Amino acid sequence: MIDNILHAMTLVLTFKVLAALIIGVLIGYFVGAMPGLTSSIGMALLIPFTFGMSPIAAIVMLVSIYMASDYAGGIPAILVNAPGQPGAAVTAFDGFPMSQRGESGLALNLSILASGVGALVSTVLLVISAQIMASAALAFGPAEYFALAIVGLSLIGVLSTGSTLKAAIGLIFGLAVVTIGIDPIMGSERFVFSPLLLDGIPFLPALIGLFALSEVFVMIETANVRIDRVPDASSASHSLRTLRPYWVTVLRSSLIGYVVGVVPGAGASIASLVSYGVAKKLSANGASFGTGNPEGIVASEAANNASVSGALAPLLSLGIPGSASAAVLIGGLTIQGLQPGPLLFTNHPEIPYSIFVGLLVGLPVMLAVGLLGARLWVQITRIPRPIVATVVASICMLGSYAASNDVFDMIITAVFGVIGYVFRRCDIHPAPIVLALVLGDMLEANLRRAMITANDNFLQVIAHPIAAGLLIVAILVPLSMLFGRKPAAD
Amino acid sequence: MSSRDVEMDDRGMDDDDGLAKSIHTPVLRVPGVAVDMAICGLLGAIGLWFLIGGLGMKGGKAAIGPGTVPAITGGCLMALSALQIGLAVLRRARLPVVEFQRPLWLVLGMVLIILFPSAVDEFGYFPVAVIWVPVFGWVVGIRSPVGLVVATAIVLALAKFVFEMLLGTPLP
Amino acid sequence: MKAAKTAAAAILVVFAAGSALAQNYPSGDIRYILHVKPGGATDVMARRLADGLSKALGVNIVVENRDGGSGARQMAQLTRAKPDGQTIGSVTASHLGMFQQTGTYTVDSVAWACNLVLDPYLLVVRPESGITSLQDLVAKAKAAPGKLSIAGFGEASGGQIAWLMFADAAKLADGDINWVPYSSVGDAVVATLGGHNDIAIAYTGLVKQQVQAGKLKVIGVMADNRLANFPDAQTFAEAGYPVDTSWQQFRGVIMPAGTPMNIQESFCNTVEQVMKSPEMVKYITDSDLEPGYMGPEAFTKFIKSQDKETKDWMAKLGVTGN
Repeated sequence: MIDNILHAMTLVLTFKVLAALIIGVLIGYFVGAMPGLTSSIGMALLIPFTFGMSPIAAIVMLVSIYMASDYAGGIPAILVNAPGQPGAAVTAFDGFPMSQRGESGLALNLSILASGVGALVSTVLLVISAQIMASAALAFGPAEYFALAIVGLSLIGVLSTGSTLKAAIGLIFGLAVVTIGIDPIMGSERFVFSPLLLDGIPFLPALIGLFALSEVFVMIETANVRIDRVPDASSASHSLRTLRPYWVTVLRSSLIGYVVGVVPGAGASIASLVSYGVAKKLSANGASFGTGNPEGIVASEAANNASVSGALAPLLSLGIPGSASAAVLIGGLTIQGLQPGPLLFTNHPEIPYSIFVGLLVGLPVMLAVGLLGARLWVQITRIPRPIVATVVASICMLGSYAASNDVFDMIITAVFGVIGYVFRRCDIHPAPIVLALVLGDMLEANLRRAMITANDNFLQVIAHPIAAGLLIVAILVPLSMLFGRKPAAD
Repeated sequence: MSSRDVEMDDRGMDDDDGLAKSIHTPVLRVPGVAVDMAICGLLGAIGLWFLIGGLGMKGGKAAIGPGTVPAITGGCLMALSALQIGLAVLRRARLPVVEFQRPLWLVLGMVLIILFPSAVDEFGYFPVAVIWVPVFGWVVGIRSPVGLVVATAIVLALAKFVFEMLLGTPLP
Repeated sequence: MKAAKTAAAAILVVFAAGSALAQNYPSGDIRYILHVKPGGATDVMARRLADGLSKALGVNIVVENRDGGSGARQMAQLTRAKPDGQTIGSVTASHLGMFQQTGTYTVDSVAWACNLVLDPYLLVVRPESGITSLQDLVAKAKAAPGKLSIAGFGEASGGQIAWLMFADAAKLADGDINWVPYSSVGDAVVATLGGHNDIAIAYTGLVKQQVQAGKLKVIGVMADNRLANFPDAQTFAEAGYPVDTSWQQFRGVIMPAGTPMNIQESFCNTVEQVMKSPEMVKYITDSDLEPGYMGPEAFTKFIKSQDKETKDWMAKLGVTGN
């Protein structure tokens, strides 16, 4: 393994590859910070430019985009409550309230540092365990995915800040919305009142509407309130010491992010939701999560960046994409004439090891851009709010269009923006809705697949050891909420 | 509950003059009970639609058919909404009054957002954006001409240079 | 609504230099709308084709991924486009199943311009499953009905029809082996690799590496002759289960209904040339595809018969969506 790493270093530490890496990080930052442009879209857009590159440079550039854009999604989430990536939605829960308190500089620095540690820890885990974790990815079949979705939904009690009943209403509303479109198993139409809805409500435009656009409406209301706080960009510490109070959370979240990332289809959104839920549950200040607790940002960012490396484990060892972006990476590899699969480590060890080295070398670049850039980005909070609101609304529309070049997606963003705003005024937070949108399809399709496989015997479905274990966790989480209101830590 | 469930506070409808705005902001005050009843009533209706639609779907051989999950979620949505309405009515005193500030501008903003996609589809992005962005900016609360020009310029530049040229998005 | 699915949509411009043809067609950039996510086999193949076409035609081929609903989302775009040959789309056998299931579109909703390649279906198992051959599979299924399950793509898909043909030839009763639909063939292969289902129906490209690594075993191929990559795997007929081997996965190009025939032919002639270029030939061989070019008339005829067969099989086995 050491030989392979050293060999990969000689391949990566060349001018061309490093240039590709830096370009990748910069593009990743940009793509990540734009709501609507996800890392997978950014990578797909760049693939034609990799035709003429060496395989190493091409792969390193794509991986740099992937990692950097996953971090950058947190920047607009913190500053204007508009997550640039689905995984950053959780970052907004505490990041935006901090920003409103005038602590955006601190929030940004914490988020980039936590992302950096998350990426580092998970990359090291990836190097050590890529081939072992592959079996973990395969252990997840329909029954296990169903149970995982139930665990995710059980976090609702932990995630909600206000009334649990209203959070449940939001969750069920989200689950109902997910069923619109073509039935995942039988293929028949459900609540398709326009052919445009055949594919269901697109997730990304709905997310942009629920978070970013609904925030624009809040800004319309408060346009006249004068901003009399001082952004603290210059005073906020860049030092890793800022993270010290949260180091347990950072490490735990990195681990959660990596493991969730390994499971194909789970991805950054679920990683950050789970990590946030666990951090809230275990924190001495759990009650202040959602009102601007730095620990919430740290938990979310460490986990969503760690999930990036996690998603690479099944890709490199089995050729199974752990996320949409990993699927694009497979496309990038295929174009270079490399077929990811179980033989990649044997036939082309330089590819996985160059990815490892590329991730590690890219980290300082990503951190430098993030920390230096924070001073700049925080200036957004100085711009008069109506101007910010106008530009954010326009970007929401452009972003949701660009995701798939479809005006229909803009309509979804607009409608969900109004829904999100109205729900907020009724104290129904977007978080449970997003939770349901992420997990709804995973829950239903896999339950039904598992039931078909088990001849409609539900007991046989939950007899799978991993599924059973996860379901027990799903039962314990809400129970611990009922009986353990006061954390023992304080 | 008096007959004035919904009252319009019209101190300072003239918030256009840009002076002491925070004092003269029109506010629509709606009792929390009414907000809950309206939204949960709507959600309950959606729940009923999913319940009926789900039950009406043809199942296959499998125990869980296409309609099972929609029917269950629809039923739950109805039940939870009804529960929330019940609780809201019983504990109405404790629910805070919901304040909508600048309500007319807010509604206007929503209408503009909803109209934007169809307008873009009809007339193309740039012609629509040149008009829409400053109008929306005005609704949001930009009052200086410089601010309107700046906001419009930022949006058009982003659309042109970033989305259309850099990312190759063919804007309609 | 899958996060992965929506997140993966993307656009891509293939810049190309070249001289314009002396014809009116193409009159500008061509939009190539794919029904799949970026990164898969169909996507990579389409981008290769787009690259070759843009060089040959001298215009940009703008590739857009409009994945979702087994092609329904792409169809919504394609049917709204002008029938002038400036908008084209990708097509595979999954479209035919989607027509059956949703009822919104039919084979007449689009013009079937040309087919590119064919891909025979394979049945694969894990070595740990203990299933050694097709006969063994049938015997095990009859011994314990409902215990085995097969993973494949969707409902009424090309893969399921192929499976139904085999099940019919092997006299397997409905319910002897459960059909478990996944959202892609790749997902179905992964589920079988993990032992969550016993059998998968897939294509060469998706399982070749897993077979070489000893993680999967091909027990039968739905073709007239054995495949070069899996010389040990029997054909269905060799194992005693003769089926109609013209039933294969296909990848082609469609255009909006009403696109003039001369435009379709002009376009397809270029496609035929591109498919014969050395890079394309190498790609097709490397990916274990069978060249199967068909022009507008032949392709339309092929599709009509495939569509009829889909309907017949679905009706025969009572497996219908709506």
